[in-house]
Amino acid sequence: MSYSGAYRVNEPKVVSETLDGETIAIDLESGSYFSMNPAASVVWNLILDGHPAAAFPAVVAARFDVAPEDAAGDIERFVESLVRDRLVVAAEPRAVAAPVIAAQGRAPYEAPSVERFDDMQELLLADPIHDVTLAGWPHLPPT
Amino acid sequence: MNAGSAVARNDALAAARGDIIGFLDADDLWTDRHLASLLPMLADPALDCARGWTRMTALADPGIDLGESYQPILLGAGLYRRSVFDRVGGFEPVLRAGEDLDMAARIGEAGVRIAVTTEIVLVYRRHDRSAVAKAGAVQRGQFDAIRSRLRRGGHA
Repeated sequence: MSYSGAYRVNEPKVVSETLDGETIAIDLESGSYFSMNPAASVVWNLILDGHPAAAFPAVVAARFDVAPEDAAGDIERFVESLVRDRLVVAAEPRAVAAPVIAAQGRAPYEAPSVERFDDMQELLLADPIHDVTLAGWPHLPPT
Repeated sequence: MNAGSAVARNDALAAARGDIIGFLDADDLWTDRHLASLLPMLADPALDCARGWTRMTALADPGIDLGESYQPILLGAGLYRRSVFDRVGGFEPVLRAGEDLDMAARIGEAGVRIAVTTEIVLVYRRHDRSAVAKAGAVQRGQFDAIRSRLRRGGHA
């Protein structure tokens, strides 16, 4: 990969959850939400754990039916799109150990992909729960 | 441990006999303008829902002003025709939380005709032990509502 460092999830503005191989991320500043497929979720969780970008292809190749060198370009494009949407930012690697290369069955490979949705912006931004401080909430005009 | 707010809301919908449905959760308050401002709006048969604005304050100290805004998720800040729930269905009990966010999203998708007044109709009193005080639970509700939205599909 062209970038040899690592990334970090752009917290606290971005929150995420991975369930059954699908990751949902919410940009709490824009109200956009993102859905990531299984390979993308693997990479996302490597980022969350602070692993260097150079480690991503081997982990993906261990989990999916793909060669590391074939996955590398897909992963790079995926991470670039995360950076573009400011879901992740460049950072120093933080993981203290190499990622575990699971010796489990390899799932069929689909290139990591993330899809962005803006249809719930108003509701996600208006959720009063976000603003647990005395600073008040975002004011939304009635629509 | 009770069955959760979605089940409670569905039970209430089943028990209600009127054509217009209002919600009032524990710790929230309707202002004296709630019915006075929202009910006449629904005299217009073209409207399915009337919503007002919400004032947020702290239960421990009602003098704390956390602002006023339009909060479409808060069911207490609106009146709904029963036909809305006949159309979009009841609250989703499998959601860990966020059944109100899920409902607001489904109401939006269904093209429910909504009018909004800037009058304050609801006082939302937050306190540290309310069901939403733990940000983690709320975030789970948002994730649940989003997954539910993705399962419905049909994005523009």
